Amino acid sequence: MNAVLRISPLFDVQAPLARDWTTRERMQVVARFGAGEAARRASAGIGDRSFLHRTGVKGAGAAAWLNAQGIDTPAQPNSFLQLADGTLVARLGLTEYLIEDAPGGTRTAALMAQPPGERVYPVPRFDAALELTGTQIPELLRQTCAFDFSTLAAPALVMTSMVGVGVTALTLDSADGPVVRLWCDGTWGGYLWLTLVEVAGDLGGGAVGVEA
Amino acid sequence: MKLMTCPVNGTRPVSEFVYWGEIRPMPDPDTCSDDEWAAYVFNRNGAPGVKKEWWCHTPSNTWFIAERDTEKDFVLRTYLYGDDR
Repeated sequence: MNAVLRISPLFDVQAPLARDWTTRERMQVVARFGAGEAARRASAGIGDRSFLHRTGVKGAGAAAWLNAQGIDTPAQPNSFLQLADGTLVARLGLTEYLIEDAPGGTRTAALMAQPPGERVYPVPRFDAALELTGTQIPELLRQTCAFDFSTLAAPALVMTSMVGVGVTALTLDSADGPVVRLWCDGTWGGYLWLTLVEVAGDLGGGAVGVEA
Repeated sequence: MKLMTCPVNGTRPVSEFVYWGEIRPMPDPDTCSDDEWAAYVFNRNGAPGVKKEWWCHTPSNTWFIAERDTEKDFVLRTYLYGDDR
């Protein structure tokens, strides 16, 4: 049950830098990028979270359908909430939602196994998903994006342009401090990841694997 | 940095937006004259002045209307389609 069935949209740009590989959620992902990962992660770590299962639904009946499946939905557009099991539910518009499983979660698989209800339209998602951690992340964001992330606090999310790529961004609290999550179109993911890793390199950070 | 205000997402740099041209109401092809129809199809108004234009905030794909003074390059107001009251 651990066969690799998916590869990350970032695979091509990560492969030359990767040291060890592993499999998460049946996606081949980089476990470690080499020495100094803990320091990079504490400063400005750029992690790949594309392996998490996610799906989208949209349509006038989407909110009611999600609620019937036991998934709460945010009250406002451009906001998100986190369910008790860690599942992220983001409201991207009046009637559009993005659901992302926590590691090991099965919510989206259960959702997609259901027939969509009336006026509910599944939206397959092939995003590149990044996770930014560390004390230098505010500086990294100031250098790469015109949006003032100091004004962004849960439950708000923002859709903006970062190094020219349209991204959806939100901040989460964690034991290690605030974490910025980014989603962008998978075909732009390699460019976004490489650019952020290069900028993070100037700040003492860089790429980190899932086992860092 | 030029700024544009999206009615949904707020004020952002203009690099997050695309411009999609002036709003040009289509005359009724059944009742208008040939000259009116030809003017609608072929002619564009390049004279500077206050114009209603389509703009799109690309990260969120929000289409909206901006009233812009193209002589002074000054945005008077922006609103979603149907909110013109």
